[in-house]
Amino acid sequence: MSEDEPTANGAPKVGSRPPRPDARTETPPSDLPTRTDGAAETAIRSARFRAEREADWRRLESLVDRAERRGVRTLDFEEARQLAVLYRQVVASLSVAREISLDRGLLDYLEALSARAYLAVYAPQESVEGVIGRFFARGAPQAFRRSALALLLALAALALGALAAWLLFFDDETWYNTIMPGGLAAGRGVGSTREDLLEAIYGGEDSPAGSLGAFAAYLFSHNTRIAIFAFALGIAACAPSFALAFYNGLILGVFVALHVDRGLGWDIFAWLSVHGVTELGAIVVATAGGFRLGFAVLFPGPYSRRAALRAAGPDAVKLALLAAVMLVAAAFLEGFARQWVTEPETRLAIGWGVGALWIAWLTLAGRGREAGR
Amino acid sequence: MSAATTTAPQDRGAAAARARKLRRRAAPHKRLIDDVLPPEGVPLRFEVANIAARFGAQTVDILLSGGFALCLTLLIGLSEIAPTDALIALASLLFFFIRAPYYVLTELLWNGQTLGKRMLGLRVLSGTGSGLTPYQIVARNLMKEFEVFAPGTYLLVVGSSNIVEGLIVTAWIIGLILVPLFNKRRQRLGDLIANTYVIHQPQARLLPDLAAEAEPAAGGFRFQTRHLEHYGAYELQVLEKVLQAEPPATAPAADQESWLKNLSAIAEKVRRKTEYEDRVAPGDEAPFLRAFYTAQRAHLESRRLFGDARADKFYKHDQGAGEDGAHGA
Repeated sequence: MSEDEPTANGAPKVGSRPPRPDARTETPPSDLPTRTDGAAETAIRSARFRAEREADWRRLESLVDRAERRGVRTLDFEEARQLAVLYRQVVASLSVAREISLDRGLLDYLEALSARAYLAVYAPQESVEGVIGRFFARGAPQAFRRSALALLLALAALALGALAAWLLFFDDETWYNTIMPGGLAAGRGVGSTREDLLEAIYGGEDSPAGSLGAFAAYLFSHNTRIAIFAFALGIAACAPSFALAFYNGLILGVFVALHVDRGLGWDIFAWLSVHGVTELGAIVVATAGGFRLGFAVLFPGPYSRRAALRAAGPDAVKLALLAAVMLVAAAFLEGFARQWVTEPETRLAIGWGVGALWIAWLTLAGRGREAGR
Repeated sequence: MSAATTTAPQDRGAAAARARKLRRRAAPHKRLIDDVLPPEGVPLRFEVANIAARFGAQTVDILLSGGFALCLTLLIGLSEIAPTDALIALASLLFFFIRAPYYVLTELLWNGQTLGKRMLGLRVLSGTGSGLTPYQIVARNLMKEFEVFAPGTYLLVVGSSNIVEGLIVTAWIIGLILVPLFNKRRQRLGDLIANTYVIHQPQARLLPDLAAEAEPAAGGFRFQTRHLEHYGAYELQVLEKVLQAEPPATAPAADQESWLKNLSAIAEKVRRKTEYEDRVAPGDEAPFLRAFYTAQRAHLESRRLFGDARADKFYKHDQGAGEDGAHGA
């Protein structure tokens, strides 16, 4: 290296050489605007690098601007293609500039432009209808089928709770007061006679309907809360979810046992069936979703716990959404069908008919096609 | 370590390390930068959103969705469709069934931006290096319900009557709100599960190239290699910043004057440090500094191509007694 060789005005020796053919790592398609190669021969390397590509960056910037403000969908085919091509070019430029340029302004610009273009190019391309349609057509049923073990376990927790409450009630009626939360009982307790209960079940527009309406609203929000927490707390090694499902089973068991004791077994079965099949189904599904997360924490297998949680996430989220859909359906059944239909046989038909539809959808839909996320 | 026994270069190396440390500490505010590796294989840099901006965006979103739900609840309450004792349950349901789709749909349609995030220039970014998937958007917003909204609603409805339960729920909410403070990407629990994080929307503005502007030998300033051996990239970029900050012709005269005064001070310092012999006439400081910037940048960039990257003016100590500088401080 000759120490004192003059480098007048920063033009290094390479400046006088003609541009090397391999100077550009990225080759633009022929129909893109050609680069302005009129950069001064004396300019330093990084300045020439910039002058050659600046027009493309500006073009990309205007495309990204539009994509950001009005969405990628407003670009026509040619522009969308250019967006993708220019994005790849600017990323390559950034990679080169990081190596050769000390121009802070240029580096900051390229960093930001590449990041913006990346966000525009890798935006979610799905339509809302597509996402929803896919969820119902195969996402939810497939997640449901993949979670058979969790579902059985959740159902078992509920059934065990009901059985335990049933046995406890016939052992000693006062268990009813212990198990049933005050608000949920809506005035029905150990002291209620057969007539009181009958009126609550078949009451029309008169006074009991008001309390029954309130009970319905409360039950719905109560069960929604149970479902939410059964799902969310499943991540804590399944135990809280199991406890919640068991507890919900206890309430159910003791409630049914009270009516059976008063000789109203058939009627309460019908009354509960209208919406209960769907609503308890939703709780089972939400609990199963929580169990899927809990399984990932308890038995991560060959993966790290974090990776196992990530892998179980999609199915668990789908089960939570499925539970939400079922709860909404249950609310409609509860709000309308139960108040209007009073014959036990029709109530049973509606409740279990809807239940059969759920099962049919979840076991039959989305078979034979590629699993969708 | 006793200063008396250390040799001069080592001492200067330690001083350099100290100076660097000070400089780093004096940086205006610490920004959290995070890299994402897209399929193109070039890591892209994003600035992680700060908590205050996210809090602001969240407030806007809650006000929007909550206000809508409140209006609907009032409408139902006034029209007396539902019994009044069921109204609270109904309201919390309405809040949920408006809020949850609001977040999911806006983030899906506007590429990770709700209205609040739009206003504050924030965006949700997938940590995977490819685009956000619907699952990620649903997961992070569903978890938000469990983290904040469900316990928050519970607190509003039930908590006031039961102090112990209220305290537990409050602790739960505060604990989960604090989670972002304990990881580098400021991720909520929902972000951790969905592998997403919130960033500041990058802003791009291309400033003119100083090196391209300077006409060859405009003021006749010529630099030799020995003039250019004193500074590194850091000083070069500080000079670039000063030169780029040139006030436009329409700016008040006071701004122009203070900028010129600043320049002449810098020019004098540069001239002394580099032992540049020629005089710089008053009023010629800007062309002089531009010419110096161009020559210095060309020199540093060509040195860098030969594997001699000079981070700042202390580069000689890094090459010579580099280890001393690193461990001495």
